[in-house]
Amino acid sequence: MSRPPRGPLPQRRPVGLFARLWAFLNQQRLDKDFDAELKVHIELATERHLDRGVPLSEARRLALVELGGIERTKQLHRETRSLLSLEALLQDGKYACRALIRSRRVSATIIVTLTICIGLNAAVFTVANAVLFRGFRTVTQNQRILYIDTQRDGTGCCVSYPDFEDWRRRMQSVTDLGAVADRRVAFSEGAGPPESHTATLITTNTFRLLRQSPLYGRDFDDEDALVGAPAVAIISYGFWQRRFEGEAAVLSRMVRINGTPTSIIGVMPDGFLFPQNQELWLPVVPRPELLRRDARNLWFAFGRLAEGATTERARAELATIGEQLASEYPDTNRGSQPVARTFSAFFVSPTATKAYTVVWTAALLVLLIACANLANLMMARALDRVHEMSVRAALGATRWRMVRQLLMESFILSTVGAMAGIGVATGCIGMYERFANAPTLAWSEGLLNYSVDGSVILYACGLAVMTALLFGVAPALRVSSFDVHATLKNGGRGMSPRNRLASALIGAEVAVALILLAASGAVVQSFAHINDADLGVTSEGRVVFNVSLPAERFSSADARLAFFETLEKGVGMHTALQSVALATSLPTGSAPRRRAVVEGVHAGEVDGPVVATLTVSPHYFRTVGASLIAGRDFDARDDGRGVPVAIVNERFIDEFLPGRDAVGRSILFRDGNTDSLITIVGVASNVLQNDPNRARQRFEPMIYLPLRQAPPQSAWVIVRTDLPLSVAAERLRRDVHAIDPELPIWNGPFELTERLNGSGGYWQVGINASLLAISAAVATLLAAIGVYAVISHRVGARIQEIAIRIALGGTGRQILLLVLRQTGIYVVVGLLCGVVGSIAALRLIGSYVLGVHPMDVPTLAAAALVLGTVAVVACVVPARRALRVVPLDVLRTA
Amino acid sequence: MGRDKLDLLQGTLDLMVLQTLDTMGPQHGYGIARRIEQRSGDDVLLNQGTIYASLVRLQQRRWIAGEWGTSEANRRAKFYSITRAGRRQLREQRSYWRRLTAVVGRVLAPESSR
Repeated sequence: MSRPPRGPLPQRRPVGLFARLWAFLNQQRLDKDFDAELKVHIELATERHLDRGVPLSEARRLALVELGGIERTKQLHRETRSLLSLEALLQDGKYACRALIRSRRVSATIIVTLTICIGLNAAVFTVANAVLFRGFRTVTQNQRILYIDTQRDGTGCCVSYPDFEDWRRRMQSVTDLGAVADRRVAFSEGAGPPESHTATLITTNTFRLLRQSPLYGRDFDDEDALVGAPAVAIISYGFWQRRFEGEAAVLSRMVRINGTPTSIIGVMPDGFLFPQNQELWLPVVPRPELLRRDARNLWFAFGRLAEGATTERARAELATIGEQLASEYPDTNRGSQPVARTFSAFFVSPTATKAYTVVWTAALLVLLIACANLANLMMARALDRVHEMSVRAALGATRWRMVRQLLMESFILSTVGAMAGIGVATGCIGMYERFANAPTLAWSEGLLNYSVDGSVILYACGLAVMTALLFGVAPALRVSSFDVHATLKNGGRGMSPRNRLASALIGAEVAVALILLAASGAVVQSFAHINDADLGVTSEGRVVFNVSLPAERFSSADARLAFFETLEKGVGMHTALQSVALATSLPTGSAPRRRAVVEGVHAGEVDGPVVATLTVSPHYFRTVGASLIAGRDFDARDDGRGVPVAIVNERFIDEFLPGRDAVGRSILFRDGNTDSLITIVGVASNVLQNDPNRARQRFEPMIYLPLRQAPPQSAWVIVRTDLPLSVAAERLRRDVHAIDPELPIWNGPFELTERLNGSGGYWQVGINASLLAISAAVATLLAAIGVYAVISHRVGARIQEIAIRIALGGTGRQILLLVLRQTGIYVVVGLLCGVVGSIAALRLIGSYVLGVHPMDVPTLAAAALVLGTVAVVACVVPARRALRVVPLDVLRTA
Repeated sequence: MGRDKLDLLQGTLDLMVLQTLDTMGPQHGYGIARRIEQRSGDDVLLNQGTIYASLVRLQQRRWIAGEWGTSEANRRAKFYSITRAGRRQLREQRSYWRRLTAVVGRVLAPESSR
């Protein structure tokens, strides 16, 4: 019961794909309906024969014969109404596998290409998805949670506790507000040595807001946050496993946190981390020092949108509350505004967003190039099968059936490719995660979820379907539309009008590859530039670590100073350590900006300019490899009893005192309580601060203040030494322990170089550059393969023509022209388009990567040259085969 | 040559179903099959099962509509009726068919007379 392709009558309206799809989805119901219909048919037919006097069994047999068999009719019905029946699908699958195995070299090529490209895409998607969309690992409905902090002119951070309380009381569009403060704590138990651990202070409603409850023990309740309540802590699952080996008795344990006896009341579920890679959560207790409106001690507040509320409404409401507070407390709140943002806007910088979007696009472009190649390959393969297809058509296969057959082959290939690709991605992500979680990294990547999970698999499957359609549909339609008779008569040869399409695809590939090459070239250069950035310091041979003094035990400036002085002296005693210094921040790290007026420059101004400040010990400049240009360094004189002094940097002189003497001049900070004049005693060379990503690489005016006159709560100790890190680290730990056995080293010791390279966006640019470089390399390779394949196929297809031309005296040049002309034109057009596209791409990348300009001629020229050379080689190698054609051999075998 | 005949049959089967429904009004599958067999002298249809494939095709093109109902003999069956689009299609195809047969007839005439 074969169905010919078309009836002789014109059928204007093709059977809707939709109708067939609908039928496919309602298979069972329609089957039942038709069963009933057939039953009636047979009854009626049987009755008719009975009426004519035929015995019952014979009447029934006749009815079935007239019908043509029940199963057969059902099968025909199903095939007609629906997209495909299961049997036909299985048959197609079996046939496709056979066809793929028959041409196993082509199949393997396609699968390998897809594995690499889908793997690359899935890996990039995993990272981009984690950073851009997914948000916190275990927070449900991230999109409904808003993160709020206080900003002035679009920058700044943090929240004061009274502000938070006011927002919480006044906001209607959130169910409740919680707040978070980040800190490290000293943790000790019994007589054991103190350890430094990451902790988060949270309001007691936090876990309820996040809809998470402890795995063991209890959640915080409101009493835990009362001043004077017994200290309690909840620990993370990972910390429980690592530190307590998963012991059940942990809930009755008493530990000391910053010296305070604390009981552990709960363990959170495995994998729960909020907001970063925390080990402990402690309740925020509103002690008096927290209740100051001018001290922004909380990192951020967060709330879950109430039923029916939108982000816009919450923002509007918060803006109104911000204005109210600004008029109620003008001293502290004037000029600053609470700002509510979603996860990605709050935690992911716009730079990272752009960077990941670019890398993601690059990966997709690579896949597109691969599709172009595979489409050409499939087309070539399909053309080899024109004869086979014609025979099948002649035997009654419908066009739809043949298209389905060829698409099935594409789908099988892309499914295998996608599965292997997911494997590749899993491997890549494992490597990436090890790298991202390196301890020297300044930012904690642990908060993001990089697992290759359902959404990644879904994405990979989506890509597989898309690629299968992209590289499968054109060849399938093409092949199935051949004129059966013409092809059969021809013996299946002589169909090659597809060359134009193939060449156009090649042109597009070349263009895209050029764009990727130029983009990655620019980003890699920028990365190298960042690598060589002048930070104003020598980072080699420096070991650094951070010590924070818990406020509970070191509330007085004298106590802090005593500790730091003892530490400095103790560390300085080691002969192998050449010098030691303390600073509140490392080079490139954050230096708080304050408003300052300089004597004789800003006398008339109210506020004065904004200048970055850093508190350092004597010998700081020598220790980090900077130098003093004029005046003197800080020394023992500059303590609490001495005259307030400061050192400024060269940039400060250039900006405010060009050509004038700085030493002896005084500065006045205009942003608060201190009205005392500070005398400049020295000028130091520039050191980069406030630029951890090295995104600006611009020195800014700095004022250095002596540590002895304002002992901070926390400081970095910088040691210049020839000792290897492990040896130095051991000694430094012993030193700290000798001074205060309750105090751990907070962060480090690290090598300064590692630490500087590990910071935030700088590291991201590195990843970005390498991902782009990989994409560009794959793209270039694919383009080369594509050009090679098209030219060599062209030579193969026209070998008889070439042989005849050579036999008739055609010159080498004519032959080359014949083979190369069409593709060559497209390649050149592709290169030109690529240059234009590159300029656009560089413009986009230049908006977030330092030192990338759209008209970067050397980079563009180099990229075009590389790609042009590759294309020429890929053209010439197969074209030479045409020149070596021996006419007699070819014509004899033809 | 058998293949050509099937070609003709398939396309024309749809046309004959449409024509039947147009002249007889709503009919069930068996009724349509019987009617076509009677009209064509009982030797055109090889099997009645193909009627149902034709009915599906026509339904998916919305040229006919099917609905369960009760016959005069009080039997439940699925009744098909022609739609407006179906009538329009029938008119077009009928005239096309006439032209086609006329042309083919003219072309074939001298050969058969020789």
